Amino acid sequence: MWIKLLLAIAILTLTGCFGSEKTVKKPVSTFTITGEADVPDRSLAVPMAKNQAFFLLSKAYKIDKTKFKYLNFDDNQKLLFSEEVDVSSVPPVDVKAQSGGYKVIYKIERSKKELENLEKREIYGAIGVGVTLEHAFTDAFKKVLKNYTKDSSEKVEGYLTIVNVNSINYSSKNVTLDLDLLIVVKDSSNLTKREKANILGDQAVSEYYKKKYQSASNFIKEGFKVDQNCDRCFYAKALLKKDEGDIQRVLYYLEQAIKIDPNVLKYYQLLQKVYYAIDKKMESYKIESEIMKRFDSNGDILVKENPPKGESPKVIKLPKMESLNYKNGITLTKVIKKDLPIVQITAGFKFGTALAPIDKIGVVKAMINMLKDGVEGMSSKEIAQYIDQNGLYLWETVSGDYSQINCASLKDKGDKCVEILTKLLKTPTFPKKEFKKYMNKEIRKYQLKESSPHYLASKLLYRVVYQKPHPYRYYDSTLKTISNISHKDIKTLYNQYLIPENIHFIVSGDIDNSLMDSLKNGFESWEKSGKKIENSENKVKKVDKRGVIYLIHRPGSVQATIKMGTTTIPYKDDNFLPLYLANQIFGGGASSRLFMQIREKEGLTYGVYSGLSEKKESGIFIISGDVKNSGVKQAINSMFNQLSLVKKSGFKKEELKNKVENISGKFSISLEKLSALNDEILKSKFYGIDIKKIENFLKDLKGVKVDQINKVFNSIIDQNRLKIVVVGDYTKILSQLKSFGDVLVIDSKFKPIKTK
Amino acid sequence: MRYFYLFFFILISSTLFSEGIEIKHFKLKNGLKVYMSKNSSAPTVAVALYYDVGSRDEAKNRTGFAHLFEHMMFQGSKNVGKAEHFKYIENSGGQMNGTTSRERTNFYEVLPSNKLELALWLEADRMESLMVNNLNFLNQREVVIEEKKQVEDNRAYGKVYPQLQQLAYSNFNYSHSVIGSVKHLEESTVIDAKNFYKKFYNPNNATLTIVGDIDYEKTEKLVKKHFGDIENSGVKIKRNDFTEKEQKKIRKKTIKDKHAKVPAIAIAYQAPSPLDPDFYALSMLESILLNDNSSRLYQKLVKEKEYCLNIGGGVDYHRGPNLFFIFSIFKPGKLNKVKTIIFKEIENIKKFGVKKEELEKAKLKKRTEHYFQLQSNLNRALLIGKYALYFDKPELINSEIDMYQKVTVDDIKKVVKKYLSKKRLNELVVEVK
Repeated sequence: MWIKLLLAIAILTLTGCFGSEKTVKKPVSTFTITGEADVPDRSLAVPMAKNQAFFLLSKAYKIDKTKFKYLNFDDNQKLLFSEEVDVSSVPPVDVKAQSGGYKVIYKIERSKKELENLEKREIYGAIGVGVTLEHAFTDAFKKVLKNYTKDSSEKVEGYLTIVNVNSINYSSKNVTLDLDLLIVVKDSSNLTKREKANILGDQAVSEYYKKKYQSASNFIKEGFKVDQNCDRCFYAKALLKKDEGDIQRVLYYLEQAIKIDPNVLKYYQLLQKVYYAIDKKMESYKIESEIMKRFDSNGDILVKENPPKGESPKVIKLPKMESLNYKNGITLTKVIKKDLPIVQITAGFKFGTALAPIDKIGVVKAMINMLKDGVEGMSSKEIAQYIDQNGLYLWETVSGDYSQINCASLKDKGDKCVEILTKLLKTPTFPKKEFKKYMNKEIRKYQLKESSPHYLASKLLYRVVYQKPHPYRYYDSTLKTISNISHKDIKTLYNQYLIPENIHFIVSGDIDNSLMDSLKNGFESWEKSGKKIENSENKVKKVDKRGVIYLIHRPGSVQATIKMGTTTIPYKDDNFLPLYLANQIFGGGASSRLFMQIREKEGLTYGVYSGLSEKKESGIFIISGDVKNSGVKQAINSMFNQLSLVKKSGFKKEELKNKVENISGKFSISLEKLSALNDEILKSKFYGIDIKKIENFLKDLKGVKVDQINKVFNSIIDQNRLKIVVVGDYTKILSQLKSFGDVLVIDSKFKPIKTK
Repeated sequence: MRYFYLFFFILISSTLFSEGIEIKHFKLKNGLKVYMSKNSSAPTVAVALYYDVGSRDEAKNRTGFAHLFEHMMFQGSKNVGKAEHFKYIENSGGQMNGTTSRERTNFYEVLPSNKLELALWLEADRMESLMVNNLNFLNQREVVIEEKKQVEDNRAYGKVYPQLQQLAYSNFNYSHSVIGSVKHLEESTVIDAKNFYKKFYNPNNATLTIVGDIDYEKTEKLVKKHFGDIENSGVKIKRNDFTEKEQKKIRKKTIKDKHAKVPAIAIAYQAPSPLDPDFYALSMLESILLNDNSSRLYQKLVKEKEYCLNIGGGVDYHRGPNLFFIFSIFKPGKLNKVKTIIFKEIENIKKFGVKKEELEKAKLKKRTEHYFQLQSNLNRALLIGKYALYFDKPELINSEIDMYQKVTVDDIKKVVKKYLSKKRLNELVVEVK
């Protein structure tokens, strides 16, 4: 019942010779590949034959494969290509590659052994693909028939694409493929009688396979679903073990796919994987040649080049750093970087929001922010004018464990930075009028923040991940804690903690002695407080179970914001770097596992990432993404699947190697900016890490082993210990969440609400 | 010397940075313009490739397509599989992205400098042979629709700028948003993508900039190696109508925002384009009127009266028509008071001008901003690319700062009178739903 296909013969000879006879010619430095293919259309056989021909040739003559780009047939199906190559060290041979329609049999006259191997892997490869595709296709196809036609034999044609190759496993006897397939149904009134007969034939054969492989067909039924966005598109899932098959049938389907959708790459890649798995006695699969991977949009084979390797990396030179101390306890780091006429002074304070009493969360931020609201001899407005008139950038950052105030300017205004910082730090007045204004503004800003789903989700996640009484659980203040803060609290906090012994300065950029002298004059005379600095330890309790899922109802949300998180380890812990690397592979960027799966394969989100916070005590690991309302369940499942995959198979050496490269490069890029340099130094300083660690960072990074990252990630990140918070419209997503456990629906104040 | 030295030693401030940024330029036979600039302060390199296509080039029934196509550029090419671009760059220690605006689409990579060739190879590969196929197209269409929801539909004030654009421009090519309409995105097909690629993604419609720790001769060779043989498709670009009529009547609109908890106001006036001296004079108002803590409206509305939670704005940087805009989130019930203060302050400048010290402050702010943005090779590459593409004047990276420095107090008074007039006013009020 199959068309007997076309014979495609690509005959490859040297130096412009045509023909298929075996000839041994004198080696020359230039040759022309020519071929003929007797094919009426662009079936899969054509590119396979071309590719095979090229592959053999490039192997035989050790040709630099990057020099080959296209091997195109012209209108007369003549394959023409020429390239200069040194063949003097290899005896020339003729290679005949034959593409016989559906069978795609290549005959190689160079070596009997090669011929045997090739035929063998071809057959087995086709078996693996063919039966799998067939099952999925036929099963899905029948459902289509039910939906779209009364008479299944007359009106339907379809094609199928592999959406995703989930896994391919090999044993000594079987090839197991787990595939997601897309079937698109077309009206095919123009089908020939023969094609219709084929469809009927397929159905009959599929019944046979279904009986034989019952488990596979059950799986297919479970995985089958209708695509909401395309009324002619269906998804099927195929999982099958197979040890025999029908090559012709496989290729028929492949050809159908090519005709309608040139995206045959995935079929082809799959076929290649199976080929090589069997060729390597099923121990492992390896794609030997990158050149056999790809078709272009016209169905022509593209020979894939390897990316350029580039030159050897340049040595990364850190700017010169120097540590200094004043007698009053202030410490300094001086960083000289003179490429631009700019400077930055960072004053870091050894306390952050975690210092605040639980009923007055927000007081530390208020004190730091209010430093510029009045100093001796200057009002808030005058300070603002001073800053702007001198072209200074002044900004504050307050985190859990430490805080900072930064001033950046042109080099010739560096002394103005020192001057204003001296006043802000040493003589703030905290005027009552400004205090009132600040508090009013904070209360109004609170309403703004509440409109952000990410703010709400993070705030609640911190609260459920960190347990009472740990201060890290307070992601931000509440209206109540803000209103508890008094003017006196601000002044008390300042007097108690903003003292020379708690300050570390970083002065960086195009600095000279006069700037350092100004700083010394401004701060060395500041009297030492003599106060004993408390360094209380507050251990974080580990999250022990997932517990209830929190759903913050946000009416009218067109997406759902998912955050899940758990406690980790302190920044200073030796395992932090391996954990950081593991997280980067898992969800740390656009090439991460999470991003590739949930955005690039499933299209559920614009972005999905995981992150790791750096804390004195335990930090937090968070997976976060905004996903389409209809995809909440699928997205959470995918997040869990990715975690399970790490648990089961771990991260790979190659992934770690790539990530180490990635972080090393980012490190050198970060050296461009003063702000990044200052932040890194300050973090090390306050987390008790020797500043030399920064200098050794690249060496330490390269020393991390894959076993370490797998061990640390799997011991700390456990999906059963991830707290889950979702923000969205409960009427659209609640039912999806219930499949993961009990769901508590709450409002933006975290109060339970009744659901309909 | 083979290169055109575009600029030497423009003195911005003799005490500060006596040498400007050096730029070398050459053009390939296929029309690709290439700019190189050496900066060895860190062993990194930035590559920026600008295509002269943005949302203003879209068909009326395909809004959002330029941006969707930017996503497609990461879906694989002849030698690079789907999303492998991300991997190649990240695995080499780099960063990359693509962005689309009204007037251009750009792609960039920042890498350790020894990996320069990788960035060139990747950009050349997708310029020459993008793999546009249906599966990838459908996937990215979904991603873009989610992006639109995230940045516009699911957050407070997300629709303010698109709505303001719609109000302030009469020409459709400017009045529609870059991210476009979901309906148009859903109706678009892989065939549209293929045609778009052929039309706009050609070497003669692109500008390549390379900045960092590079060797000029080696870099030129690499560019020629990877881009030299790329052919133009030959499809001619017939540009849309880019003219904008002068506004002669005030326009007002009120929208309800279901996610906003506090009302807001956005105000816009049609403004001149860069290179016009009026543009630089109007830009000074960013510092004098709006954005600095010492600015007039910040002090009055945020600090003194406490009507507003914040205020900000400025002039857009487009080569086509621009908007001078103000945005503020304010206390419920204070709309009229906020408007009165804003318009009164504008009238004050028309009548009395600005103080010399206010102008000096604004100029110093621009100078400081200028040097801080030059810290990164990427910023340098993006600036040179933008200036070259928009105006064929990459040297503006050094000289444009002078145009700000030349502004006088009289210039400001003149431009406020000329551009911030009632008949040119567009007012968008955001109410809480």
